[in-house]
Amino acid sequence: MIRSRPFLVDDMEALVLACAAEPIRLRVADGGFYKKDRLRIEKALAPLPEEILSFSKYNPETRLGEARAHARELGLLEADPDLSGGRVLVPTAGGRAWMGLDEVSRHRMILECFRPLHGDAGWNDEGAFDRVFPASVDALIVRLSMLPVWAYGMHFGHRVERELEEAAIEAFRWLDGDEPTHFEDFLDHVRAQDNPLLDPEVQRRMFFLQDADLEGRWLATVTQLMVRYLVPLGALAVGWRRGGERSLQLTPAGRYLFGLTHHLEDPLEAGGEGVRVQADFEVVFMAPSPAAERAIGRFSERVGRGVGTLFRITPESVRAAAAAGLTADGTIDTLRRTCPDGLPENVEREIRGWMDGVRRLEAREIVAIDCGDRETAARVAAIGGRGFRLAGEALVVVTEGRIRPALSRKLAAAGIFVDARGGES
Amino acid sequence: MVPCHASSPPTSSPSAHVHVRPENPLIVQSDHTILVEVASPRYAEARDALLAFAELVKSPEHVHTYRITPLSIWNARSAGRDGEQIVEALEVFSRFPVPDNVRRSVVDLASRYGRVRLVRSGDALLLETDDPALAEELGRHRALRELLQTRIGSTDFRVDPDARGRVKQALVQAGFPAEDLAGYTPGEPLDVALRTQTGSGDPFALRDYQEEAVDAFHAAGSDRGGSGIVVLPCGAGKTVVGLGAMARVRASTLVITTSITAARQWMDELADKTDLQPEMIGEYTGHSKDIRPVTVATYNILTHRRSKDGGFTHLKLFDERDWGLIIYDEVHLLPAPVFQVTAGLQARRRLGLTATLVREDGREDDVFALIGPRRAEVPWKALEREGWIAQACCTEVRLPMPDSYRMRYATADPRARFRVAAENPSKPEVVERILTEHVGEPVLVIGTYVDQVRTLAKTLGAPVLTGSTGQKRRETLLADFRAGRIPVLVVSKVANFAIDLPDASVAIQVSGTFGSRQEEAQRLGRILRPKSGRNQAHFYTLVSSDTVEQEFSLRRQLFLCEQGYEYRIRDAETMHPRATHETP
Repeated sequence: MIRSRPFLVDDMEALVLACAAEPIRLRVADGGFYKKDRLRIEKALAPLPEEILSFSKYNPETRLGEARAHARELGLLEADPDLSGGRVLVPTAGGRAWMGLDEVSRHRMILECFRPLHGDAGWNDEGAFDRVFPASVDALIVRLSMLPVWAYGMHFGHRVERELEEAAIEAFRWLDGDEPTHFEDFLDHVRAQDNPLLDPEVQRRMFFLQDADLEGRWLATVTQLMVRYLVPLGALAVGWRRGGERSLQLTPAGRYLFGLTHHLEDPLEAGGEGVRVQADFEVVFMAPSPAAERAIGRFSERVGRGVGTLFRITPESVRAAAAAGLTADGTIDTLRRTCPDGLPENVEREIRGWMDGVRRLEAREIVAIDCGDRETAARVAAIGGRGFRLAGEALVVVTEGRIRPALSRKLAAAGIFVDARGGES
Repeated sequence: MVPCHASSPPTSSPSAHVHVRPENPLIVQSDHTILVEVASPRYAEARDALLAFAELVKSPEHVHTYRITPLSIWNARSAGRDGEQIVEALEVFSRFPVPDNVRRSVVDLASRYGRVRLVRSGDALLLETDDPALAEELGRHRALRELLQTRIGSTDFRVDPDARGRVKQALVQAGFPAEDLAGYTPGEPLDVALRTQTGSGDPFALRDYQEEAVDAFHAAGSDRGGSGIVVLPCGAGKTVVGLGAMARVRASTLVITTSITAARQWMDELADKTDLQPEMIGEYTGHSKDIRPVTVATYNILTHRRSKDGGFTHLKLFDERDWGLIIYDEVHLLPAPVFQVTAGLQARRRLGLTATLVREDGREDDVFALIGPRRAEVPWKALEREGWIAQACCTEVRLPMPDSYRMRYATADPRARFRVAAENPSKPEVVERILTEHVGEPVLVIGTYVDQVRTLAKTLGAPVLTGSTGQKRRETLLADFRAGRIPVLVVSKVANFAIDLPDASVAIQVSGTFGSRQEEAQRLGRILRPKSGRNQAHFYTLVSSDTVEQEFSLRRQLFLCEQGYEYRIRDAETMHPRATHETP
């Protein structure tokens, strides 16, 4: 059995959700997560099937690190100053917009960021892409393929970059087919085809490396691409064939990534046959459906794994999802597409109600004058005019954020002396 | 991250060896819960098999949840099923392989039942086992060693007959429930039979499921029957099962109920459906202390005491006659002092009647040990399908608070907010709107706060029944409501328990505690008796929107949905306008 799971996308979602529910404080020293927060988020990451874990040790800490790095690079999260002077990780407007997209669009957005810049025409044509990601992301695949070379401080011209990229694309396209490919056969194929690192210009610059070293380096690059990008993006399915041979196969997402198709399949169309949403807000899986699991997990509380009662839809989980950018229509639509038997009326109604009740408010610092009593507050507000606003019985907010000297003098003339350092006379 | 170099799949790869049978309806989970898909063609078959050894936890529309517990397994063992049969039933209907831990614990738990037996030897009561090591273990058990008198040989103990109940309780706690084969005292004989026509001339016979419940309880008079619980939903005729048991046992009977009203309804049923003469039936309540061959008492009178530290003087009722059968109505409400007495009544036949085995105090173990195992249970959905109980549609009507009242709510003490929301002054108008949708149907309006209930009654021009309504007035109101002379009756919390309102087809709940599942079930139970025509009942609940009342209401919504009722949420403005508005 071979399996794929776009867990990099899932992990970024989990991280954005966690940050939306409660901005995550970052360590002052290195900007990392505090241990308690890290463990909490790691716990929220969906477990991976054994087939994927056998391909590489994707431990939760590494996964969270990758998810955080990519989410920031793709503009889904940003570090904002908080009121206490520290920094917190919060979703960006683009991050919320991304979370509000449906399953397939969300996945496609991320794949777009990794698609080779020099791929076939027709990709990157989504208007939403520019809205979600204000800064376009470079072709990471190219950068990665050059990493081992960069380590020696080398720089190649545009032509070599193109060759590296095309060779990588060619290698992975070779995995497209009806049957999975034996892993060793794939490595043999990569070894046998033209190695772009054996380009005369590269050899000239890297005169200190033997051909065998360059061959090994190219194999390592291709393998790293699989481990770090293709498998986490769900572009490559990995596992074992019936005979126990370790195997690989390009998935529909992989075909899309490498320009073999312009249509990315909706994973919910393929599965979800055995999913039931109950009127008591529990979601039961009568058969495994990883795609439906991923889709429903974004706005529900997980209570199980595999089959059985896997999720409970709660006011808290739905509100957290809304805070992260999910919409009521999108959520209802996901449930409808996932559950062939339909959605109980009360569940739909409550989800809409919970989401409609969500408000995003901004906390910011203000300057206020504590007047001590109502009468003084009225006097201060009257003197301040439009620059002041009465905000309670004895509190006046300075709407401009500072007390201008002229105003300060006017107050003093009326016998009111404001100590801007916090005291009052 | 680096690629792993394992070249062969791990042997534990779950996907590689799982044998899936998608046509089967069960998913057995390793936490001992079982999911059952209702849409499966094998659903009914699987459900019937499950009922024997698992407890129904909830039954929403698509997938029902059951749970295997020690008690559910021992209930199955007492009905003659062994562990292998239970595992086989799970395997036959399971979609995925049954988890090994479940398989093992079922076999282990099942093997524990009956390894010790209570038997009679002449006048003596013995606890016997075939396993000397187990006898040794039990002899040293902290709760048991004081109750077991002398050891006879390596495997038997002599037991004080008065300690029979306590020994059974201790054995359940020790995890080795006793099979009680010590038999019963026959009690004072009583010539009683069921009528074939009721007092009003209607034909009468036990329904099939009632007959089966009576058979299971009586077990043809053998020592393997004669004590246990019958679980039937509200409105399914539990009282009639009690009458059927009396007709089988044919001995003097003590019936204990939850209230005077319930006691009198039992007496009415006895007079209506059995051939007992009125002078054979006595009432033992706060109003009357009449002990007859069939006596109906209340839990309240039995647990009454003059002072906080005084004794329970009325518990002597249990010894006033040689009762051959004791019936515990609503056994899930059995109070602690009655448990204690029941522990000493193990030689008498005992029947518990209830709609749920779940006790708020968690003493299900004691019910099992002292009253007996579950003898019969019929799921309400099956009865609904057969038309023996009405279909109920639950509707939550959300209404905003008037602006002026909203401020009162906002500034109220957090502890008082629930009540402020519950007493939303817009509710009477919405009740009137609902009434216009149910003209001609008998309607019960239920509230928790007496002031609110009285105000509502005044607005609606309907009579009101509260805890302070005198017994005579209460009976007149109920009789008028039954006869259709009163179309709308406003009641306070008294409606929660055992008031029989056979013709109510609509209940409108204007306030409730919403925290108690029992209250919700009881209130809903008021309208579940079969209706003529569409056999449809309606249960409305009025909730102030965007308030703490709405938050609490989510609990009852979950409960009702778990029970499998259809649940709708409507906004008050979408309700039918008041009748007065329609009049030009």
